[in-house]
Amino acid sequence: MSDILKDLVKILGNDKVAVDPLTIKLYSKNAVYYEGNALAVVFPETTDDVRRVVKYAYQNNLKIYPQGSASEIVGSTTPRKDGIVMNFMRMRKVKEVSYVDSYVVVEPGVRLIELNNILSRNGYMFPIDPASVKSATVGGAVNSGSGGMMGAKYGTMKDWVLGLEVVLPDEEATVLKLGGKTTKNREGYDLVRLIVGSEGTLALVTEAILRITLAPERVVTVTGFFRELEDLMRCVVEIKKSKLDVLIMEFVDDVTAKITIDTIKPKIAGEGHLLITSVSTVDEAASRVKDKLVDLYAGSGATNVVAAESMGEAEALGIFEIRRNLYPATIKMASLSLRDDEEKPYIFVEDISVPPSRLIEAVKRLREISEKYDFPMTLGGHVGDGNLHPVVWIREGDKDKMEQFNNFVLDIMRMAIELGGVISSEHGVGKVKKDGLVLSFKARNSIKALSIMRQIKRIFDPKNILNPDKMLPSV
Amino acid sequence: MRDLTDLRREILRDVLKCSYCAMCEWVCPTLDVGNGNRIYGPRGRINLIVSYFREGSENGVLKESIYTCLICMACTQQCPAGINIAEDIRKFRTFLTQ
Ligand SMILES: Cc1cc2nc3c(=O)[nH]c(=O)nc-3n(C[C@H](O)[C@H](O)[C@H](O)COP(=O)(O)OP(=O)(O)OC[C@H]3O[C@@H](n4cnc5c(N)ncnc54)[C@H](O)[C@@H]3O)c2cc1C
Ligand code: SF4
Ligand code: SF4
Repeated sequence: MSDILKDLVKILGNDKVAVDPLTIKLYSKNAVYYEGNALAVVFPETTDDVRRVVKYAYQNNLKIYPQGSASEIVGSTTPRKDGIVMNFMRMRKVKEVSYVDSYVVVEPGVRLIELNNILSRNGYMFPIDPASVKSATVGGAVNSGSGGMMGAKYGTMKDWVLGLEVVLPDEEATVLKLGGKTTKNREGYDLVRLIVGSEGTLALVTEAILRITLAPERVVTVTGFFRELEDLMRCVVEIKKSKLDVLIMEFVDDVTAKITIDTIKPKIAGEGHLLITSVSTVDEAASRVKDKLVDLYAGSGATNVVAAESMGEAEALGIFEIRRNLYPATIKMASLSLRDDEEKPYIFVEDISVPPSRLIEAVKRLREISEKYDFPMTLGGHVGDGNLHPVVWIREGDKDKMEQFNNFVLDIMRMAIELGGVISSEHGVGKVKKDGLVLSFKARNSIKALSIMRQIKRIFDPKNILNPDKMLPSV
Repeated sequence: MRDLTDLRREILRDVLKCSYCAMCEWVCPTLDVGNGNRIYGPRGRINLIVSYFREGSENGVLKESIYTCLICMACTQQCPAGINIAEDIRKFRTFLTQ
């Protein structure tokens, strides 16, 4: 065992350090394609564990690659042989729940689903619901700036983090408590929001104070199919004008809906583009709201309209099935196209946003790009906030396709920028979208923003030991 | 005895669909007992099987991982890729024994 590993064992104890190569391999992959390597995996159980490792790492120029469930899909966790993976899944305490003050204090390894299971007992929720809610940890979601289906109403992580305890990668391994337990806080620059979405490049999050909210008393959901995108968007506009409290507004394009219907045989089927709308309301108004939504759908030319007066009923009717199966349907589609049993498909989920009013144009241009590169694409997204997720797959080892993929992503990002959107909405930048950052800031004549970001990185992490080579493009 | 090549192919075809999304882990009883170490969870087990078949990677950790599974099937229902996780682990045990 090398000196470094011996030292880590001395600092943390045998039980919190893994050096076995098979274990390291399991901690060096992410949920898409990237595979790295590392000297060891450490499992801190307390802030003090984190602090002691950071201090040692600083002294010895050892890199630290922070990680929760490694469900990110942009390469933001990928470690290298020059450092150690710091996995936070043993810091899993929900330390405090305050329904009176509407916050929770949690450790970074708590999964979002576990948090919501606790809150739902009292009618509360943490409203950020990524499709990966079963795997996403608080630390990972904070650092990815994650979002989800309810983004139209609740925004993303940046809107729900009140405070953070962090360990800085400096000589003293300084512990900072940033923000607090109140919604209003104007104490200087907003360092909390700087850490949110920083992809583990600025500081190690050891505790988070998150805002919570009452779960809606009743959720009414309606779905239907539209032959033309224009009709679907007309329906979206009418719903937005109708003063309904929209919670979820999801879309799946016609090609994808057909593929998904053919591959998974969901309970609801139809032809055209699919729109799902959920509205938050109270028990007494459920039936009225449902009728209103159904009218709006029908008035915009929707067919096969299905409506539910509660979430339970919506699940029973299978209203969300097609949207949720976008990713599984792509996996199935890929598996059917593989040439032999030893091949592996990689699934890539894109993540641009455009202003919702430009969605029709964005979908049309996405299809042109997909045809240009001959990438069969499934497409869905959050219409409410203009976030689109084109999904494609590539056969493992297909170098030509991989190279084309990079250009395909560049074209998609350029299109998003041209339509006034962004190149990354909720998944982050990681290793895949660094070029996109340059494109985006250049397009806005604001390239200096990147050098400001690099300076911020240097202030937090003077020796560049924390998650190096992620998010920020090199000069 | 079953033909091992067939069994290998059958398992590998299924486990290669794993996208590493981790959605299977939260329900796994042995992952908690194993202090959260990925080798004691479904994602770890499935990917150790992949490494064994594709790279011949094998050490005590592989056996520890595979033989601590309860085959309770809680994970299988969670997998968006439709992998028969518990069944693959059971079949892999048969493979190792034979
Ligand atoms: C099938 C699928 C669906 C998804 N759907 C969505 C979606 O709908 N919306 C969405 O936003 N995302 C989605 N994602 C992406 C991903 O699941 C989320 O970003 C998730 O929040 C990541 O959580 P994690 O615990 O896996 O973090 P990880 O992947 O482990 O880490 C993510 C980032 O956070 C850093 N990090 C983790 N913990 C800490 C810590 N304690 N301190 C400092 N840095 C830390 C890591 O270094 C990395 O940069 C999806 C992924 C998959 C595979
Ligand atoms: S079958 Fe095995 S891997 Fe799956 S949940 Fe049960 S114990 Fe965990
Ligand atoms: S849920 Fe399925 S695809 Fe996801 S990590 Fe587990 S086995 Fe792999």
